[in-house]
Parts: sequence; C-alpha cells; structure tokens
Amino acid sequence: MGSVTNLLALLVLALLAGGEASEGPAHTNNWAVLVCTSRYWFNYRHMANTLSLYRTVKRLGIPDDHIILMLADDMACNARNKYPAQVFNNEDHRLNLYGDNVEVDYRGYEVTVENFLRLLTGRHDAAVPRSKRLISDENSNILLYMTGHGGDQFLKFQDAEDIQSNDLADAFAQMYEKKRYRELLVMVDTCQAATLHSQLYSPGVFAVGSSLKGENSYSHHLDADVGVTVVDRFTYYTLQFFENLEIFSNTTLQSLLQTYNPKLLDSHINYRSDLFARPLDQVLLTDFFGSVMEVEHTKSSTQMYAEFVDVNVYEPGEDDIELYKPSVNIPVNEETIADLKPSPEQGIEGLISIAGMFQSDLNNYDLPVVIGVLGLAFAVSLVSSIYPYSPFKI
Amino acid sequence: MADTRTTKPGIKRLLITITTLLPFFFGIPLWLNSTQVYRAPLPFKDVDALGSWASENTLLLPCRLNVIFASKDEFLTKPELDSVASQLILHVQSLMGGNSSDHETCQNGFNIQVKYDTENVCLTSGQTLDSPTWPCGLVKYGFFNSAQLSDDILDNVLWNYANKEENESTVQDEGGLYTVVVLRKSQIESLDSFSKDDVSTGGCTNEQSSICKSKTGWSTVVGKYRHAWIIGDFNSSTVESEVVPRIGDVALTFLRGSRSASGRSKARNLPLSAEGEAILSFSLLNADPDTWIFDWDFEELKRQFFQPVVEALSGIARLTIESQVLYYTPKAVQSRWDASLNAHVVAVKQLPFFVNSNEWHLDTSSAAAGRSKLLHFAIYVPGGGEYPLHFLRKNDQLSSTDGFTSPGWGGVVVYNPTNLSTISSDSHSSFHRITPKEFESIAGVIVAQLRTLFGLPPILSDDPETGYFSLSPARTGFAEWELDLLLRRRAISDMTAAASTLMSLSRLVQKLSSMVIMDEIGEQVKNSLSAAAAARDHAAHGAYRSTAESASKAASLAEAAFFQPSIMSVLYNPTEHHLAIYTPFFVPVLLHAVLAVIKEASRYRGEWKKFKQKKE
Repeated sequence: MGSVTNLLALLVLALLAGGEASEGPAHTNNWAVLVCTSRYWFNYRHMANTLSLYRTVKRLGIPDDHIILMLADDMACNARNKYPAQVFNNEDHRLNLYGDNVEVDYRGYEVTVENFLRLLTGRHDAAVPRSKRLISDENSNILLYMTGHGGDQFLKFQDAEDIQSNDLADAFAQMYEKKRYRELLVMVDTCQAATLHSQLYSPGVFAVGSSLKGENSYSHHLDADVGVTVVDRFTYYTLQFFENLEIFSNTTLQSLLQTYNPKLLDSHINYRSDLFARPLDQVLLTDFFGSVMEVEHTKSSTQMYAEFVDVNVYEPGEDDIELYKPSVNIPVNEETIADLKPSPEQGIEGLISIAGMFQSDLNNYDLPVVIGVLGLAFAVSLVSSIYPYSPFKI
Repeated sequence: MADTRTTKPGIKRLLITITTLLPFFFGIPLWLNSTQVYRAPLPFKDVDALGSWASENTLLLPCRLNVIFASKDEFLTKPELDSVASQLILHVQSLMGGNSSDHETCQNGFNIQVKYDTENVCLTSGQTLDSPTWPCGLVKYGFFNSAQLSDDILDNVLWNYANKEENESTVQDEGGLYTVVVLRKSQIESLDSFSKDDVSTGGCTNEQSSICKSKTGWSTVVGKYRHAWIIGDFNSSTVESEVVPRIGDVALTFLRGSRSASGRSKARNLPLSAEGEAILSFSLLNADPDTWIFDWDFEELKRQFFQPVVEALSGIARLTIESQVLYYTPKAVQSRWDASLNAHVVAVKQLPFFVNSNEWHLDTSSAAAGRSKLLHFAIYVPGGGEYPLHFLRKNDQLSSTDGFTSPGWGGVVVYNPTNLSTISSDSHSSFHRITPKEFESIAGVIVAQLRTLFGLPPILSDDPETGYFSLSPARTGFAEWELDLLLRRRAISDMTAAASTLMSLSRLVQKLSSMVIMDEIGEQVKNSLSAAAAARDHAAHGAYRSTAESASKAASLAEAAFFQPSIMSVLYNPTEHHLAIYTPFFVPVLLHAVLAVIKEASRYRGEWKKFKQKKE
C-alpha cells in the first residue's frame, strides 16, 4: 500500500516537473537576422557563411519575409570571381548558394552599424519598407547570426566602423523592453566572439560564439579554383550538423553545442545560458532555425449568404487546435530539402595544415602590426646606416 | 649665474602663464555641458502613475442587462419579481466570479434590471441602469403575433421596437446595454391559428423558428443586435429554476462570445497594428496553371462579400483590402489519394506544413508600409493532379470547410472548382472567372476565419439539444453584441499596451543616459498620457466608442514615441570615449600652456630659494 502511494507521489511530482519545464505558450513565429559584416573579395567566406545559414533556415521553413539578410553582396559579381553569379561554400562546388530566390534585404553599403541597430530596435524612418523591418512581437523567436571580423568587445562592419558589445547589449535591452522577442539566439562566428556577448543582460537571450577571448576563428579550407577560403570552421561544422536535420527533428540545442570539437575548430566555443530560462536539452533547434506554423482548422463556415439562416451545427472539436508535435514523422516534399552537405571525403587535416599559414585571419591585428613595426625599424636602421646624415639617424 | 638674489622674485611671468591656463579649467564645465546629448524632459511621474494604475487595473467598460418578462396576463407579483431579480443577480455574479480572466469582464460585473411588462402592469426591479432601457408596451406592439414567425423576423421586430420613433432615447448606438425578452410559450401558441391544426409537430409548422427545432421545449435565441429572447413554459413557481439559468447563459454569451464558462475564445491580442489597422490581403493561388487557370473580378467580390464586413468592423479596426492572383504555387505537403473518399486528402496534422513560403509570395503588398499588419487569405486552387483536394480530420471525415487559420498570420482555404465540365472543355481558352455565386462558400469560410483570428468562434453554435440558438448576421458576419465584445477587448489591450510602452520608454530613458530625446517625443508622451486619461474618463461614463478611440490613440502615440527614429543615437559612449574624442582638439594648445606653467613655477621656486639663501 505504501509503495503504491509512493509511486503515486512520484508520478505527481514528475507531472509537476514536466509542467514547469514547459512554462507559458510556445512561440508563434520565427525570425532570422543574418548579418555578414565584411566586404571585399578576401572575405568571400563570410558571405558564404551567411548565405549557407540563409539556405538552412529557409529550408527549415522560415519564410523569406521573416528573414532579414544583411550582406555586402559583392562576391557573386566580383571581377575576381571565376564563377560569375555563383557563390560556393565548398570546393566541391556542388551547391551554388547564390542560386534562385536569394532576397538580400540590406545590401552593400546599407550594412552599417546604424542600420543594424535600427533593425533590432525597430526605429526606422517611416519610409522604410516592411521587408527591411523586424516586425517581431512577444511571441517571436529570433535567430541572430553574425559573421565578420571581430576583436575584444567589438565586431567590425565593413572595415569602416564597429559595433561594441555594449551597443549590442543595449539594443537587446530595448528589444526586451518593447517585447520584441520571446527568445533570442545569438550566434557569432568571428575572432574572440565570446567577448561580444559578455555584456548582455537581457532575459531570454542565448548567445554562442565561435572562439574565446584571445582566440582566432579560422577558416575551414581554401578553394583553389576560387582562390580564397570559402567557409569558416565554426559555420562549416554547424552546417554539417544541420545537413541531416529536418523540420520535424527533435534535436536539441544541447546536442548542437556538443558537436563542436575544439581540435577541429582550433578554437573553443563559448556560450551563455544564464539569461536563458529553458534548459538546453529541451530547446529544439527548430525553435530557432526553423518555423512551424501554429495552425487551427476552421471547423465551420458562416452561412451569411443563405436567404434564411440554416441551423449551423457546431462540430465540437476533437481536433481543436492542431499543435505541432515534433515526434510525428511526416513526409515532406523531397524537393524542398536542399542538399547543403559539405563533402565529407576531402582531406580536412591536410588542407588545414597547408592553408593554416595563409589563413591567419585578417582581423588578427597582432601579427601584421608586429611585422610592420619590425619592418619599419629594419628599414630605418638600413637607411641610417647607408646615409650617415640621414634624419633617421638615431 | 648668481646663486643669490636680493629682491623677491617677481610673479608677473607666473601670473601670465597661469592666466593662459585658467580659461581651460573654467571652460571644462562649459565644454562638458555642450557635449551633452539633448534630452527633453519627460513626465516620468505621470508615466509611473499610469503604469502602476495599469498593473492593478484594466480599462473596464460597463455592461448592462435588461431582462423583460413580457406577458399578456399577470403571473408574477411584485415580491416575486424582486426575488427573481435578486436570484438572477446572484446567479450571474457566481457565473462571472468563477473564471474571470481580465479580458472578459465588465466594470463591476453586470448591472441587471428586471422588468415586468404586461398589458396593464409595468414593474421594475433589481439594479438601476444608468442608460435608458426599453419602455413597457411590448405586448401592445403586436410582438406576440410575430413570435411564431422566423427568428430572423422576430429579431428585426424587436430591433424596430427598440428603435421606434417615440423611444428616441433608446437608440442603441452605444454598446453595453443588452436586453433579454422572456416569453411564455403558451401565450404564443394560442395566438397561432395554424398550430392548432397540426398536433403532430407539437404545434410547430415553421421551420425557421427555433422553438420548433428545439428538443426541450425551450428556446433561447441570441440575435444579431443586442438582444436575445427566451421562450418556454414556466410559471411563477418555476421561473427561478428554469428561466434564471438561461438568462445567465445569455449574459455569459454577451460577455465572452460563447456560453461555456471555460471560455473557448482564448483572449488573444487582436491581429492589428498598434494604430489599429490591418490589411486583408487576398491571394488566389493557381497551384498548377497548366491544367486550369482561375481568375476573379475582385472588385465585385469585395463589394459583395468583404466591404460589409470591413464596414461592420470599422469601430474596432481600420481594415483595407487588396488582392493578387499568383501562378505556380504548389503546396509544401504531398496529398495522398484516398479511394474510399474519392479525393486527394491532406491530414489535418500535416497542415502546419501546407503553406509553401518559398513559392507563395504573399507578402508583396505595396500598400503595407512600415509597421502595418497584414492578414493573408490564400485561396488555393489545386491543379488537375490533386483534384479534388480536401482536408482529412482526425475522425477520418473530410473537413467541411477545407480551411485553416494561423493566429496573427491569416488563413488558407482550398477551392475545388465545381463545374469542372465547362472548365475542362474550354481549358484552352485561358481563364475561368470565379463568379460571386461560386465564391459564396469561400467567402463564408474566410469570414469564419476572420472571426477566428479576432478571437471569436468561427460561427455561433446552435444546439437543438438544449434549445440554445443564435443568429448569424447576414453579410456582415459579426453581430453587434460581438462588436461590443471586441471593442471591450480592444480597449483593454490598447490601454495595457499604451501603459507598458510608456513604462518601457521611461525605464530605458532613465537607464541609458546617452539616449537622445527630442521634444517631439516629449509631446507624444504627453498626448498619449492625456488620451489614456480621456479613455479612463469615457469608460467611467460607459461610452464604448469614444473609450476605444481614446485608448487606441494612447496606444499608437506611445508606440510612435517609442519608435522615434531620432532616439537611435544611443551608441555606447562611456567617459573614456568621451575624453578620447575631444582631447585631440585641446591637447596641442593645452600641452604648451601646462608646460609653461610648470616651467614658470619651477623657475619661480628656484628664484625664491635664492632669495631665501641671501637672507640667511
């Protein structure tokens, strides 16, 4: 008898715990803000990173009008591009990222810190069209992906300006105040990415960065045909993970975070979950990287046009609100699933070791600066030794 | 150089250098002040007051219920009537107390007045209502003669009675006053000459009258306007047990939109922009134009079907309509052929994946600027390969509507063309135009979807088992009491939104000290506050429309203030950045001034020492 009551008590406890874990109603819409903050040919990989993410979230069901794509967009038609109007994220060239239906919302010189912050906070000029606005609400889950060149507490925008981690934190605070998101996932692939989310303080934000302070985020491999590196390691392994993910998958954020191998990345990912309410092993990846419509079947139609109104027998709903359960396996149109698979067969290690020399990320200021200073000192001493009366004489 | 001196060293040179430096020090406050960002003063106190009011209260409008017992003879005495009234008040209170979410209540609950209207007597009991009610005289109005006619006619007769010229004060423009007329069945039947002959149907011949359809002998009908009526057999001893609960049901319906206390309609926010606007965007999707192409004369369809709805809703939302026809828009899920149902079917659980956001370019509106809200209504015409296409419900029956909605997004309805023979024969003659007659069924579904999106049940349910009926308003789709309900919800949500937006703005402004606040924002905040005050004032007087208008104005002004583009210079700017930016302007001169002072001071000290040494 005692055991039965114990069992019952346990059951009740388990139910209560389950109820607590799924607090509040789920999100009803998804938004994705994908930002590539670099321009110029040698930053090809940043555009490829962003476009790959764009394809992924689109494949997983976020409609184009809910994706804000900020892109310098100077690669596809760059004079140095051997493959005009095409962008690849892999040297096997199996997938042209710049295929059809790429809708860039902020292009070229529109990618500025000001526009980015306006986008987040919603403070636009009245004339800015809907497609350039983040019209999210308190039920929106937002994915923010940023890639480019960063440093300690900042991220450069197109070599012209930078955004500080404090700016980002304050922008999120404003979004939080105006209830512009329910949950926000920030994913940053830059050098010292972790420093960018160190200042955040708004609830509901989960941030993951590709590298710790003092670490570089390296590119993955060089495409000899294109002539530049085409994808960054962090993004590469993220895409590899998403490659087999379907919209009904119940893979969690936890398992994504566990796949990053510091040996392969050559950097350590860092994430902040202290502002985030849900435990990571209960956060579905499709909560952010995909979108499933909340749907209600219309059970009856109004008969407003009949001459005399007939009896409308209401069908009480055993299928009231059809909420989507990810465990259900539903066949989808095969064609909608793009093949975003980076080829597994290439010799990753070999490439890394060769390309590593050339790949020291451009935002690694230390090395060029040291070389420059040493070179200058050498030049001065050379000059002064040649011309005894030179003004450089020390 | 002499080591000693006899005179005191002069301080002229020192003074000159110091006076060069001094202006810099005096200038520092001036400079700091000049580099401050402009911040217009905001009425933080008033905002806080509104915020604390809104955290405890909601903007509630009064609801008044006038119950009229109309009878040809007298069956109640005054004490009996009083007892019925107090019973009713208690009953309704208990109904509302059980499950009163904030969005579904009225100011002080329902005010209930009970009237007793016979040929010779006119008695009033219960609470007094602060607005004019229907006068006595229903019996003389010939109302009983029409009671056996169809519900629709009866509804209109009652409306005419309420609005007839001599009752000029009872014009029901303002919402919130609901009337329930209670009739005794025996009196109606005795009037009806037809019913006596036909005993088999229980004295009922009229199929349009709900009393004939009801299986309990009682019928409760909620009309299209702001009144309802109850017909049944009762006398002075059964009135409390039979009539009072039914009136309670009606009161709940007027309050929540449905009879069930659990509240079917989850009080979602209305799908409107902060300005109370929305664009209804209708898209006709030709999934496979190779088999057939459908087209429409949308202006005509709009005039017939949607304009009346938009006009009916004009008090709640400013809706505009636009349309487009799209081609090659396949759905995202595969349908399967079901031989037993003779149809291609999509299971209801697959509907979340129905919309093909990559191919359905719905959000192409040019009219939708800025923060406006779009509601999509997609009419999907399946191609020949998937015709006819239906939704399969969980109980393995086909859906009667083939439509679904997504909250805040809009709805989708499948249109299976019916007169296929004429289409396929002239399929090469390009377009087939959907006639208004063919469109009726689609329009019915779309209006039901619009009702769902606004948080109402798709239709008002009729239930012959319990004898509970309601009338669907022709053309407009929304009954007047439902519009009241939406207006109440809108006022509440607008007021809450205004308060929370102003509070957010005030918190942000106080937290982020480098935020620029232009005068315009101060103005908007003040106007929003005064509109909020006006809304509370109107609500206290029970003026539905003006309350909603003021509340909406408060919300949209608060929104405009928060989203002012000029606020955006809030880049992170700590003191060290501040100094780093400005020092280069001053250092070239300041450096020399400081050096000169140091140099002169040390020189002066040296000279002073020499002078002292001499003295010793």
